Amino acid sequence: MTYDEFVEDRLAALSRYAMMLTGDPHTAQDLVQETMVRAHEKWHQVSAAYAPEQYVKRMLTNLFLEWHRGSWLKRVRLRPEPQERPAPHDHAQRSADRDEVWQALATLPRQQRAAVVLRYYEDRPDQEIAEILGCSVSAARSYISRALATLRSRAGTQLSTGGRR
Amino acid sequence: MIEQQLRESFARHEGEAPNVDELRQGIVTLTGKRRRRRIALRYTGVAAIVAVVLLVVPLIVKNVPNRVPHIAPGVTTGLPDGPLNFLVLGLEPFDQPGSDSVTVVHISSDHKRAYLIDFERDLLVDIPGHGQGKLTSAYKLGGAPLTEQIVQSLTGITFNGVVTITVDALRDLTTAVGGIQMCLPVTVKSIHTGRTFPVGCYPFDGAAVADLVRQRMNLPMGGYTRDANIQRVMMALVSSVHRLNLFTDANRVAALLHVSGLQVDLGDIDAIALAAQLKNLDGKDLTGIVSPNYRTLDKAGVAYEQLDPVVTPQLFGALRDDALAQFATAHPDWLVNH
Repeated sequence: MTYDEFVEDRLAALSRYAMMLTGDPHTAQDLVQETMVRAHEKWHQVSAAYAPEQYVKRMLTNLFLEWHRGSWLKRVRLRPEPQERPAPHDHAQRSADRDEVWQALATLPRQQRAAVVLRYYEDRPDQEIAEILGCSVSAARSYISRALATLRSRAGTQLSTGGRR
Repeated sequence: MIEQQLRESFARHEGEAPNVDELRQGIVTLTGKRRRRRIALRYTGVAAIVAVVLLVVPLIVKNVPNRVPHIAPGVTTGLPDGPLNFLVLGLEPFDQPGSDSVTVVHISSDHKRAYLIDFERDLLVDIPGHGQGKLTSAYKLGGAPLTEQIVQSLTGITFNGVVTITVDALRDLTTAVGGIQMCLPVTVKSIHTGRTFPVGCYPFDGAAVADLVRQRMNLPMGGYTRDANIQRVMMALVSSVHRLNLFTDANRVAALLHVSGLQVDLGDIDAIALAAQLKNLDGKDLTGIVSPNYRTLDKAGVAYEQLDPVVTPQLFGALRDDALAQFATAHPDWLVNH
């Protein structure tokens, strides 16, 4: 697969994946661009990989995971301030409740968020999640279960009590 | 339950993903910037090599026995009217070398300024008789004449001379000019000889230079620090050559004759006249122009460079018309910083 073919076929999917990881279109754009420039520079290596798409996804994920270690994304804020809640209204309230999940996602450690995105957005099996995150299968499972527990307690409580009505 | 909410939440935000066309544009722009910066760093070394060769070459040619020219006192002509173009090929250190660097040296018609235009070794070109391939491979297939032919048809200029130089020639040049004086800002420890080059300004002989320029491991910025060191060596060489006196340093000049790995073909150019013209050319009179690359093309798993479709015709037009000064003013982005 050539670089141009890859861009043609996979860029849209990569863009959505970055959106789910970062929760913010601008950061997602930075992340995808940075990843693709790096992939372009070493395209020999990428295209020689068993699964180029997986390889690039892993590059992107690594960039995302490493940003707190003083990397290029340092300046970017990944956790948006919680939005002001809309005025109570049955329909609006329901979608606001569901957005609690999105807001709660932003509070997860990055490994956990990436694991959850790979599982529930991309529907990947544990083995692939572990490969992309560069960790063991049991670590990947533990990321997911800890993430779910956090999400339940953050979003779930508010849901079950009907929010702050 | 929470799983289902997660899936719904992801689905709801899918539409916010960055626009693919904007992403593509961003990637192309970012790639171009990175490439130009990377090439500029590498290129400064090449520019300095060319400067050295330009200054050293006339000395050597003058002393080739079967080409001893006659100099009439007061006569400084002997060069064709108009601008001069030379092709300088840096060769790989292999048995069957390709060209590692391909540089056009353009000397303005008043002979007061020199412009250096570098061509990427991986540039995709038509190689007469061999289909399409990388510029670097032309030297393997047909030596300097074939490479010259290709660059002539790319640019539309004809060359007044061709120079080839190997990496080893650098060491021998240094020895021939009696060593160099230069300053190192960081300590370098050779992984080849174990020698340590401390911070500071001091003399280097040929062996020290050859050792130093091979070191890139354990340096603060790896290859970039090495490139900077090569550049320092070259600038120091230019200074040493400047100090050389043709008449009193006869031994040194004779030693330059024995620098192997340096070949000069100046055609009909009067070497003495060229030397007279170029000997006052200093570093500040040189303008480096970055290789006019556009983006990498992937062909069957091999990466090729391509020329920028917009800037390249302007650059080559300016080269043909001896109008590179105007090009330099109009395109500051494409110049190498001194």
